[in-house]
Amino acid sequence: MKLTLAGLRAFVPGLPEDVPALRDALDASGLEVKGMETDGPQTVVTLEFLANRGDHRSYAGVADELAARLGLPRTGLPATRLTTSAEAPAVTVESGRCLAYTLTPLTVTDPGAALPADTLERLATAGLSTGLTVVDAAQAAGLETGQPVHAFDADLVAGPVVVRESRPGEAIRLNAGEDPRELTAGTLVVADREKLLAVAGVVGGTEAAVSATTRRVLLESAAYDPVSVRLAAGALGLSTPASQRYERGSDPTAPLAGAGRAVALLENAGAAVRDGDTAEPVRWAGPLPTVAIDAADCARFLGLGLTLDDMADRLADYGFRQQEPGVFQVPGTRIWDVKEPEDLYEELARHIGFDELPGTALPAGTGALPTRRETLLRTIGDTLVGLGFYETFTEGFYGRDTLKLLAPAGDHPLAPHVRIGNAEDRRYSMLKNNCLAQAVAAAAANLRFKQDQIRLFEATRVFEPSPEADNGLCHERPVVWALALGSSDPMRWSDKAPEMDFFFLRGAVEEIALRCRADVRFVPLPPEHPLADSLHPHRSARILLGDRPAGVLGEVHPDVRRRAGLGGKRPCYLELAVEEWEYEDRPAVLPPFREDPPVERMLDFVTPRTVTSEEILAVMRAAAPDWLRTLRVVDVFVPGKAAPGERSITYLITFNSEPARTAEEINGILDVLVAAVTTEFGDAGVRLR
Amino acid sequence: MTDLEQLREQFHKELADASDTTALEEIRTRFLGRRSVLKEEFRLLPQLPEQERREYAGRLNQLSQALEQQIGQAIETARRAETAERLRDEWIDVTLPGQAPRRGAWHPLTDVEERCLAVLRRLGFERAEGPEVEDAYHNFDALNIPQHHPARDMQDTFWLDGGRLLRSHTTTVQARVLGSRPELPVKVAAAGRVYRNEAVDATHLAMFHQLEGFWLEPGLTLGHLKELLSFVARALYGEDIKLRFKPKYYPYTEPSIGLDIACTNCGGDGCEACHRVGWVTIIGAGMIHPAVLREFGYDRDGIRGIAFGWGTTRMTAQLLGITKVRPLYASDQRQLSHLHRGMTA
Repeated sequence: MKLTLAGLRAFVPGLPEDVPALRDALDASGLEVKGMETDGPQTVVTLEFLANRGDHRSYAGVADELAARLGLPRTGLPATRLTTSAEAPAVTVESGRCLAYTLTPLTVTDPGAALPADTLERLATAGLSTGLTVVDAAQAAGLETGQPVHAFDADLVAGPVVVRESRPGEAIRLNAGEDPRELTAGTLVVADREKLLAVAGVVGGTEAAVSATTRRVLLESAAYDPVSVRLAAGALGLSTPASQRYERGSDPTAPLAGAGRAVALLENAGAAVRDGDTAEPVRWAGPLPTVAIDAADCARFLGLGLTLDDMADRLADYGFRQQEPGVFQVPGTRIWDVKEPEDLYEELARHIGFDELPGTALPAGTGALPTRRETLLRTIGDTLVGLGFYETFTEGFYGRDTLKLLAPAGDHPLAPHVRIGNAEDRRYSMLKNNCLAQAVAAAAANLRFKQDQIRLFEATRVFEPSPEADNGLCHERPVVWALALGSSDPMRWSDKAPEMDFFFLRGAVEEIALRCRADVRFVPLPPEHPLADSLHPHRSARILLGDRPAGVLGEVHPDVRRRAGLGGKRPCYLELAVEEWEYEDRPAVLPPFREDPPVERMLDFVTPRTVTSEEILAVMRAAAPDWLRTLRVVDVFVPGKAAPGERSITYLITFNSEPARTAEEINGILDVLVAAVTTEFGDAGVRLR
Repeated sequence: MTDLEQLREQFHKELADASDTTALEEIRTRFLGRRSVLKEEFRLLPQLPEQERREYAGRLNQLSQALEQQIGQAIETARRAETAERLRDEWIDVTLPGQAPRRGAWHPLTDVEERCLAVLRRLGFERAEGPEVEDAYHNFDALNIPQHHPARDMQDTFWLDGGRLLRSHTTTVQARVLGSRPELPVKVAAAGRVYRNEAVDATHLAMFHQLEGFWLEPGLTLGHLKELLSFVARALYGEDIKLRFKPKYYPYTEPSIGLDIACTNCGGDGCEACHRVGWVTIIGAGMIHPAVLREFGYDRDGIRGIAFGWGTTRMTAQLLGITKVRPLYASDQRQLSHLHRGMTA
């Protein structure tokens, strides 16, 4: 909201000339200065108001706050004291959601009469000028006093005015040339015998609107239930100065005063005169609420040695009157937001200034440690970062376009999603139930940026629809995903490093498992896994911790790559089910370290695809003596004319060298290992190379 | 007996002709090796008469030492020359880039979040987590934001089936934790994604990150809150940072306050980054509202609560000196690498 400094001075003449000081006072009062166009007396300040302070939304409200803050006298603007009587215009109020209502009849004497220059300046600055003197006077009264005032053309009002709830199907025309807007039944409206005149507290209709030809006016000033106005404005998608004020709670004791200011403006300008007494069919029932405080508790809370008298003096500056010791009556402007003792403590804190309140030394205590989940995620992330991955953040939702990359059919496990009912953007229509689609989309985006060395990871959550979930909607499953594409060593220029593949990511998982002290295994990915259709069927694996599934990894399926436009690029994807992982912070219990240099031997088996390396290793381990030290793959060779999947795997076998063994003894063991493997897998085609 | 002078001359002649260590080693072997003339002469010494043997042995030793010294020097000289030549051949262009595999990086947001959490851990705050799919009770009602409250305007919400929603702030974790009725004191930090149903542009996001802390204990005061916020701000922005407190409004705290720091870009003079204000609000905070305490049964025994929080997305943008936050969520590895360098510079 924009206000002129000159306009504020009409309410607080003693405001400082020093603009920065004024700005500080506004900020310290909770009136956040969003901009200041400094131009001497024409200086304009743009304020952002606190959401609970409807009373701030006027010159009077801002002036009240500044006067209290700066200890300056507050003055008012001329207002006509209106008298109410039964002779006034006929009005009835049929809803308890109208808290106060007044209607004042006027006769327009000079439609072209000018309002005071300072009032016009205030209106123009706030962007509220209409050029119609009556309407401008009503708007000005609202802007100046905080009490919205509305004007109807009395000659267009048929019969008595009634404030009631709308009936089903009722509509109101809000703009000339547009169709009437149908209202939700039960909306609080102002009507006459034939039509709706206004949506109460929100906006007036066109059919009784004041125009240049208006000669008789009904000036409305009222107070409504804030929720009622809020619902009506929300349903219409409107936000007007009046609705903004009413939604936050207006002063139900102020309607007559607000109307009086509008009348004074019109009468003083020679634009209109009263044409009778004011109707007041409903006056706020009151009384004003009270709030009791414990002065000792308040002083402790604020950290100051304030007495109750100090408190009463300060609260009086904001309009709170002490009724009895420690009991304060809340002014009408504040009944909607001041209800608790702490609300009054806040008033006192603001009066003193939050900066002036003393700090209190914090009680000594011990620090806290990272939680196990934090440590686990840090361990996983640190491992991936060490391997060249960059953490990224994707959104918790996506749209159909992203999901199309995986193209799950209707009965596919990835087809059901939690839907977002009111997304502003179609890209946010559903909560993600997988991370692969976004990971592949990220790879595609990077390739478009000519970034073809990609290592990304994210710790996030997927939302898996399930009526059995605790919230009745979905399981929220934490995962870490990673995607790798391109050279395993892009900084290498002296020779070509291999591309990152399944085994690169498997190595990453093995390293993570090592750091978490977990025993990890990999088995072919079962076809029923939700991601099985999206990963290469022969280059994907399920990650097991013991026998528990703890993740998945694999090369992205060619169909997914094609849909994403990845060309010939073959990204690999990893996903860890975080809930299955634990970081074990105790040192691992290892067998004693042996200083004797190992005796090394190698065995090379030609192996068909039906037999896995893990199976051969298991047979050799079982057949080996207890002085076997290590057993691992050191080379895999695919013979030129090998059958599909056939490969030659070289195993490095190390033995303890102490106590000393003869060459014959060691070679005998090798014979045992070979015999064990060929006995077990010879029929399947495994042979020593 | 051999003519030792002739042997010496022969040695010098061959030494002069030798050009590399191989030739020199061959000379050494021939003149000083086990089967050399000199060694043979030593072996024959016992056959000589005493006087002659002594005199001849002296000459042999003298010659042997002389030759040993000369051949040693010659070999060392030649070795140095050969080494120098070989090293010249091994020249590399040291201006070529290094080839060690490079580390990746945590996202700048995580770095900032971790930095904040580390500060809070020093004060005893332990992290708790909560769901992102929430219900209206934990997101609004339990936090003193009833239906149709104006504050619900500030947080346009993504609504899901069954009246569920995506949490619009991490204060939901406060409601979750207090709902479990923990023993006091409670000191909890929560961080993570939050969602707002906004049209996305360079400066507005539908998902971003927040961090929040709360503390419940009998006897807490506004002074504790101020002291805590000052500590956090100084730990994050530096001991000399200029602070100010101002009134704010949050439905779940009363009083609510904001902590401003002098703009780190202009030092408080006013610039584009701070919209010419000179101050930037970094933390929203307050004493936990009595209605929230009542909701969870903590309106007793002088119990009061402190709550505070901030947008880590915004804080990251501030620290990186960027005005557009959208790229922080773009998964563009070029940008992530670039931002990482900014964070580590």
